[in-house]
Amino acid sequence: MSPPPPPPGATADAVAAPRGAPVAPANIGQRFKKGSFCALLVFCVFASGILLGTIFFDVIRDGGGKLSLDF
Amino acid sequence: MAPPEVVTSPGAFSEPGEGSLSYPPRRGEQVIRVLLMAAAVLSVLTTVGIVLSLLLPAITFFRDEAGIFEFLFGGTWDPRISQKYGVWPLINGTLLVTGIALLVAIPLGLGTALYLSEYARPRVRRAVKPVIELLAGVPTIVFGFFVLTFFTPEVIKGLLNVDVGTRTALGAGVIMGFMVIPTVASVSEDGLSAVPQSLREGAYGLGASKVQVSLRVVFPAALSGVVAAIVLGASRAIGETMIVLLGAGLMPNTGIDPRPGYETMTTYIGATAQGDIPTGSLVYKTVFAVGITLFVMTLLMNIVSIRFVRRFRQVYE
Repeated sequence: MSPPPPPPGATADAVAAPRGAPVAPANIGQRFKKGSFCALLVFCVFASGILLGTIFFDVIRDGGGKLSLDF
Repeated sequence: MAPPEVVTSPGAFSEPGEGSLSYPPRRGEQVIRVLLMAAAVLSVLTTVGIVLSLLLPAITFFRDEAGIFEFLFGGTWDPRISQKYGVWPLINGTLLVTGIALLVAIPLGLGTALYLSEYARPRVRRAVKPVIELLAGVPTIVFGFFVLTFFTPEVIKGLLNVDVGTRTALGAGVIMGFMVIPTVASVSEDGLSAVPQSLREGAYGLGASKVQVSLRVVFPAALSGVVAAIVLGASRAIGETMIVLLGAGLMPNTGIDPRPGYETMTTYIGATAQGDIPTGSLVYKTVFAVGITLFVMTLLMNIVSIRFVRRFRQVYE
């Protein structure tokens, strides 16, 4: 809806600024930086998980076959 | 005009120590207070006892066998055969293995903490955090065997093709770093989560991205907690014995090459104090001299970190 017209004889002393997007969308570089940072953090979590899994695997591989009721 | 009469009533609030307005404490509360005080005094007495038990034999060692200057700055540690008491190789080994461990633990631990605090959904956080903390529950002897039988021969020698022996500071340091990750991650995650949400919202309101909020707002605000986490992790690494004993061996070295084996202060104490050395002998005294050196090192580190934490601490309401 357009604003009402000024009354006859009135002079306009201000001009509305053209409206654009308030925040510019992120460019490819910013998106890549954001994604790679998140991936880096996920890798940090996975590194611990991988080591934990490897230890369990190694312990079970070496000692699992030697478990028996006699033991 | 007479002063107004002070009327006390059952249930009237009074601060501890305001005798005129307070009722005598209940007997149960007195018992609890005494028990709590006894617990605190017991902790202090235990610490004093440990220090004294270390200090007295160490003093006789420094008085009778080696001066403090020779002990701290001598480059050869061979108390059994040539009776040389330069502890620097043990300090060097301790610092090297701890440094390698922290190089692994600080980035991975802080990355894990930032992910859990800022990026992970609550469900993911509830699932992942116990798994990470499971690493802290693995006995260190298991880590030690893991270094000796798998990580050094299969990963460092086999996969990465690095020329190392059976015992190497590299393998012990890296695996010790993984052992320290839960300490660094858990304590620093607590610090990051304690940063008020209003700070994040303010930064988002100013147009900051999530990376900027995490690294430039939340992380600096939680710096004291992060430093406390790192110091805790370093203390744990310095005091660790079994991983280094099995993974890095008992070779006093003064270099900084991480490939050969090294001996740390804890491994010397652990390997020497096995009950077959005569009480009061020279080797017996060296154990205490090394022990008090380790104690002073960790004490200094804690004092510095406490000063740092107090200086950068930010209190939010």
